Amino acid sequence: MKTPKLFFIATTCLLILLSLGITREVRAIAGAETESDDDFSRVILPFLNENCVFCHNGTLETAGLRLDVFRESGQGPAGPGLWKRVQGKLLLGEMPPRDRPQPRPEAVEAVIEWIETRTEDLALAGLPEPGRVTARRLNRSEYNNTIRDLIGVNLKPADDFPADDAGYGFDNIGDVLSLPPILMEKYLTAAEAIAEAAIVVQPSADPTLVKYLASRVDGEGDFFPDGAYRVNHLFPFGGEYELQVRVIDRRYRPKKDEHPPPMPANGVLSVSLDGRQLKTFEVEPDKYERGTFDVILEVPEGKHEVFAELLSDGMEGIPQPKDTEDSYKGERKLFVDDFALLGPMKVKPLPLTESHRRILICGDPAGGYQPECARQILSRLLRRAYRRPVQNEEIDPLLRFVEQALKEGDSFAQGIRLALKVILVSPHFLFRIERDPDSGDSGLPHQINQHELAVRLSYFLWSSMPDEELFQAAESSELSEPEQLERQIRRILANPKSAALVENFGGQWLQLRNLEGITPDPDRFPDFDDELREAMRRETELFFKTIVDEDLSVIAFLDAEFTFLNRRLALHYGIEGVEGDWFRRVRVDPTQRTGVLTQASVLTVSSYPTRTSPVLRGKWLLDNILGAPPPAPPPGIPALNEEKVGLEATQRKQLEQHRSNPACAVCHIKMDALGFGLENYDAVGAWRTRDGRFPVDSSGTLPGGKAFSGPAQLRAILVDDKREFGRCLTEKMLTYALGRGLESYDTPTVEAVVERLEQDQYRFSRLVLEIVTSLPFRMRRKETEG
Amino acid sequence: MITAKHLPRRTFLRGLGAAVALPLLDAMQPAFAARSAARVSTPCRLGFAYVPNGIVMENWTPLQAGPGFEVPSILEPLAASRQDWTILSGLTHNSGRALGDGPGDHARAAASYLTGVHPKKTNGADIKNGISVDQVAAQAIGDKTRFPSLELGTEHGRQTGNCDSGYSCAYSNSISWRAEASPMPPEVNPRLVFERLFGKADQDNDPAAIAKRQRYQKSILDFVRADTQKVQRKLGPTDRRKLDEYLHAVREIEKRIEHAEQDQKEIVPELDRPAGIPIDYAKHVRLMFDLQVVAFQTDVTRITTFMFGREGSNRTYREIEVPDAHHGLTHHKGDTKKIEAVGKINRYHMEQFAYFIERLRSTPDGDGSLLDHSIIVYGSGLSDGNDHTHCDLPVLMAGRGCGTLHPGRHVRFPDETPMTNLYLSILDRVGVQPDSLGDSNGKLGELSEI
Repeated sequence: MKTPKLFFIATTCLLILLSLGITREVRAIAGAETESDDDFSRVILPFLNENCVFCHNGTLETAGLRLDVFRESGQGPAGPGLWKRVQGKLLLGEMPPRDRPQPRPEAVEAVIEWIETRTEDLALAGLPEPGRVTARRLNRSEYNNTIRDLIGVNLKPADDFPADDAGYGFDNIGDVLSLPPILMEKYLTAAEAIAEAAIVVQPSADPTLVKYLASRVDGEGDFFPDGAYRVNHLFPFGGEYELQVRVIDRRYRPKKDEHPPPMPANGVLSVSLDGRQLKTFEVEPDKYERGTFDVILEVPEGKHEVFAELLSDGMEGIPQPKDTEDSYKGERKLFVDDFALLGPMKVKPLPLTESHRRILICGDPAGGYQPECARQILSRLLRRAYRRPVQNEEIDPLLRFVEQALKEGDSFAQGIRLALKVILVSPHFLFRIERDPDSGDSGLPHQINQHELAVRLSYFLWSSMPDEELFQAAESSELSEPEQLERQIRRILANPKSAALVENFGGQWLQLRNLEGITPDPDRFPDFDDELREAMRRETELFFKTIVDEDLSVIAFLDAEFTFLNRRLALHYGIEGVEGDWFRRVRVDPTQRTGVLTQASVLTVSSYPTRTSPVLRGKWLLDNILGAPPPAPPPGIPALNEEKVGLEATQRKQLEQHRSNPACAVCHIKMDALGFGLENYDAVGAWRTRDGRFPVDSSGTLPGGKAFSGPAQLRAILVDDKREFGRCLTEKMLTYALGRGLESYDTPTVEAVVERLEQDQYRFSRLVLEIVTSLPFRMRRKETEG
Repeated sequence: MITAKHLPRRTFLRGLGAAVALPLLDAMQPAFAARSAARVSTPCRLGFAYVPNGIVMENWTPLQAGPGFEVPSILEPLAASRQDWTILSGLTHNSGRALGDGPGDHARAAASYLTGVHPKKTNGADIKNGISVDQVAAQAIGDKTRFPSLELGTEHGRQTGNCDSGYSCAYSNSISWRAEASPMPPEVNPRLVFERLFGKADQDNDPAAIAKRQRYQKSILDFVRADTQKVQRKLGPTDRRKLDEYLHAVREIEKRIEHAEQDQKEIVPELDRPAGIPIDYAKHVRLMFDLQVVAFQTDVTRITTFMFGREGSNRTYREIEVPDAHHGLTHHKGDTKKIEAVGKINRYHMEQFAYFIERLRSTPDGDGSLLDHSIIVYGSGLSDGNDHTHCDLPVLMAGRGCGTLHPGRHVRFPDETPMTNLYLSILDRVGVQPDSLGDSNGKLGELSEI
């Protein structure tokens, strides 16, 4: 039976709100009366009623948490992990908040003890629950990367696709990724563009005649007063074309009753292509009224300028004949009249691209249809595109597309192009579909197969399809051997393609992607520009990449005493001696800069355009570092008077007043304190010691009593509880890796990963290894009907 | 062998603004007129323009009801055309309220705006909203045009993190919903909109080549449809639903191809091919409106939605000296300076909308103008952004709805009148009569009265 979802594991901040004057009763929904139910209703229910449900109820749902609805004595929805967390908060004395009425120590102890016994029971009784991942459509970056790896062209067609909606903080969540008709249109267009770029189709050589008439009023091209003519012609293929220039010559027109006039000299016609003279011709005066001159053009495909002019008309020193016929009086006597372009006469074969060679692994480029070769090409392509072994009955219909193209008069290569288009819009390509076994008990979880595992692995770490080696490993079932699996994971992480993990996971976890849309107020931050914005993003990406590449402890995200700077960013940080545009690793003063929390990217995305906000930064920390997102404020709360910040009173003073409202205080105590610890950084992350007229006071006290002064001490406190950060990062990465939100049944998985992570000194690779080998990553449950 | 032919010169001219005005496509008329009981002789267009984060209502709502009201400051940009629009006060989106779901008013405001449905609070696992009014119309009359509807916007919605208090970003990024779990994301790049509607500049226009492409396209779609149905049989219900979206999209495109086959007319818009997304926000918005005008004018669609920004947008408006983020500002808590800044943004949006209305008014259509044959609704899913109010919403309706509307007034409806009643009344005017829409409980009576 599936348990109703009451808790999000990600929302583990057990901040307990004050009473808002509303008392809510915990409803123990009728369940079987058991021994432990008695304990529950005797010990736990009253405790929750008195101390927790004022805030953690259905209306406020503080921290997304409800403690007012249970089916039966703590079983089901809560799960052992959640109760463990409640226990942790009680043990540390963090809950209820210190300045609130405290429960009797015996009551707290009783709850702690009950949880101890219950969770053991639950852990023993619990069945593994891997959850279910919905068929995932490739998101934009996965699509681009997959095309790059499958075809070998770097077109990035998905840049034109509509944005992928995000859920749980990431844009690779199967349930959220939808497929509106407009996207299907884009898939078709993209498939066409990709197939054209991937496979070279040799041009057909049927020559075509095209005429340009200068004398027509509405003719094409430019006709000049001196008799020259110019057109820009689109040559459909590269190759040889015949250009015929027709010249009209009216210079010599003797009348029968006239003495022969003086003979003009030869005119000179010049023909050029793209501004380069190809040939000149003598135009003899008495030969013709319309003369044609032929030139062979050798052009690459595309638009080219064809130009013909008369360098001389040969009329120099010749008086104008006393012409009584007025039709030609005073007009030009020698001019270019039209162009005829015939071609291509010889088509230049196009060079074969790398992608073409990779796809057309057999067959003569010029040759006809060879069914066996087509089968060979398509079965290989299909296996890679569908990321799994394919059956003959999947290949056959594609062969029919090749045949259809041939019947339409297309070439073999065009036939393969067509089949490739089909593949690229097939749901097997666009979606990552995992198949449940046909038979067997539908309710039981099962291992996903080797290929599905390979696909999960490569999309997790590369945002792309498996490479050949991973394919082979899946084919030979190596991924079921722990050492082999680990070897593959380490190999994948070491590959440059793992930059996708930094870009996509890092970019969303740390919200670097939001940098793009942020415009700090230019009056207050005149130095901010796109170059600085880019440098900020780059710094954090390189920093993250170093943690991956050097397999550092993930705690380095918080306390590393190095970062990456170029001149621009170093100036921004007030660090001297870093020259040039390139980024390099720099040791930094640990009292000012350590880890991502002190990097300008994070500090900017967690600020307003005009000023810093301890509230926003505190919330950012709770969301992304401590895994304890606070709830949104209830409406109707009085505001901070922003005009006065830094002028009439410090922001701290104002926030303190703000917190005197008990409805705000519960969450803000922790949020603001965390944020104040970062007040030494302005809204674009530069170091400061004054805010307006007032010196910066970056001290604070966290619930539980830990006090700090300045960012270095705040960091020390955060680093002190490594598990807390480790858990948050695990939850984020597991969400990203699975492509689904975490549920209460994932708690044991998260706890186990954190446990191992701690045992291995928080090494980054350990986190990845544990996630990949975790239950939900390797198993799935077949969904039952209805 | 030598074959002589002239190059299709129009290939080069298409979309370069060299074309002439297109008359109304007469072929479209009879079918439509029959459906809407001969009331209209020219098709009626529907447009919905959405502004995020609510409005400074005291500068929006006219003090007097009826005609001849004094135009409040936010509406001043539209003052010149006051005979062409009506302010509707008192309409409510009850579905946007918390109703026990806690925070998340912005997500709910956008999601419920055109659906009248209370969206399910979820970060993603089980997105559920209703069908939006534009899509109800598109599903009923969209087959008359090449595109059943167009969804446009200005913001990519590529931000990360929580969109709003436990609601998936899908809710605040799209106001148009085709089905419960299927948002229609807006296209923000004017160039791509143009190409979608009118084709690419370098496309081969040889009729034989086009016909062949269409044959191929059809057999591809045929095949993937059959293939998908086969796969679906082996999948669980959720995966099957995902592939249903795929199948629906395939069918939509098949319909479009059929439509193009029947209607071989080449459609050339009176608009230069856009180069991309203008950096200047006002230019961007106006270009999106231009595209809607030419889409209506060439009758490639009759239904559009446009989002000035995602709900909860934090755009800054430095060009009008508002360097602060929009959403942040709307939580002004009574600070007059902030209220003033929000008002400036509201008015700035209205200036752009006024451009749209003017374009519609000056574009001839049938026996009048496009505006005569349109119903354009402008509004927000929130009234007061500070308090996240979902009642007494800002609603402006422009156009004469093919003679079915009598604009130029301020109509005040009883408090808590469902906004969806307005939608039912609008749908009725384009010949679509669903029993209900979201939380509707009737139609509005006063729209046609003078």
